[in-house]
Amino acid sequence: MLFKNRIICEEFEKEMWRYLDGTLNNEESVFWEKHLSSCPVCTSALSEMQKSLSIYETLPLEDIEDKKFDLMVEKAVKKSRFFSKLSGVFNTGSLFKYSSGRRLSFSVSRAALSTIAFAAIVMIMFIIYRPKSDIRTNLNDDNELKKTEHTSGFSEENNRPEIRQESNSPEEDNSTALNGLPGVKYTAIKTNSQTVEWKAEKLSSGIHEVDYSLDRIDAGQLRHSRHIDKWTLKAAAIDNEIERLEKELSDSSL
Amino acid sequence: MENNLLLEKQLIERCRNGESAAFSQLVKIYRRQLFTYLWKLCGDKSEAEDLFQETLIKAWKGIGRYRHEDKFSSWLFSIAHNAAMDSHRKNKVRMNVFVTDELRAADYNNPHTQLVANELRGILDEAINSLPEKQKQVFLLREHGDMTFKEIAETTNEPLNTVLGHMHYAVSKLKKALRIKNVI
Repeated sequence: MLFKNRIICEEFEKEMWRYLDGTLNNEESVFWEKHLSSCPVCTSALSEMQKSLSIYETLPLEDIEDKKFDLMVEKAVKKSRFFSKLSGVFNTGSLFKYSSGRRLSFSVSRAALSTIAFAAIVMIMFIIYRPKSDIRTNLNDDNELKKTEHTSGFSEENNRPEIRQESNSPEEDNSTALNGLPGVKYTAIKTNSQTVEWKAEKLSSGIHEVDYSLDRIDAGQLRHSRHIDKWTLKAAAIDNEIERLEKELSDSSL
Repeated sequence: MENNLLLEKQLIERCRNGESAAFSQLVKIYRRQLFTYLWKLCGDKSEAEDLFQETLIKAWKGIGRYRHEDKFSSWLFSIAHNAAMDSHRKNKVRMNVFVTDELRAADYNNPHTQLVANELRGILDEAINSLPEKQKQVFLLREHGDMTFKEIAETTNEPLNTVLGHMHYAVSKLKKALRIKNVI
């Protein structure tokens, strides 16, 4: 009898948490209620566990300052809006689909391949031409971008494209078509713009190269078994590059 | 309770329509629990703030995919948990609870209460600190995420029985620590 009880008590140790969770079925609940009513060992074990937890639960919770929290929410919303402009291609953070944790590099749709090239360019151009007011807000948040007056191609700290505010005078409103804000003119530094455009083009041509090879493999012009590994690697490299670019731009956009 | 759920549901709908104010209000409900969870899990306030930010970004981005039949708090804590695990993997930093002076400075008005609370907090944080990673995760998700063990099992990708085992060992260790200090 004692032995039987011990086995039941050991079992209760495992079931205790589901009992406390309220996820036992009716039959199980009735069984354990009955056991508890006649077993001082399990009753005491249960009450000590509950007491330990309740002591932990009396401790005050930590918190974030309201102002910081508001900034965090603002950042989250801004960042998401930026990426949502990229029309779902980046939704998974990865161009290529996964299956059982392994890449299926050629399962990507052709439509996504062409869109990705366009999206990469849009993303880069957005960074170059985004409004100064946005940057100013971000400056307050992170101190990530430095406002500079000199005209070197890259900021000294992080090689990020710079945008200079040249004037607030009404005569120079000719740039409003670009940024939509009256009285503010922005100039993308030419060297930077060329660099990022080059990056986008490189990415885009890589994607087209994969796309073209996929067509040839599909059409039987390239032997599948011989070429699939090569293009899998190429596709994975592009995938990595897009992820890296996405991260880089997301860091600099906030 | 039902009113809270209704409010939550309304806020989620407003979030889906792009209202950032609703998102702020929604997250505020769980802000303290979530931040405490992250802080205790990674053991560093600034790291916890980064993870909190990451959680907000992912939650806002993914709110359209949230299913009403799931508990919002569990969904939010799963995102936080995954963000913490990703960061853990990337940075290879051991998540560690340590009790800083700042953490110890509980906002109690009564000096005696504060003293007792701080001592208690020290004991419990030390006990949590000594837990193996999985036990710590399960314990914190249960305590701060208000998740059922089934939900924790899904979030941590562990079998339910393993999760129950982790919880049991974690609380047993807390109990032992409290007993040594004659708290219970």
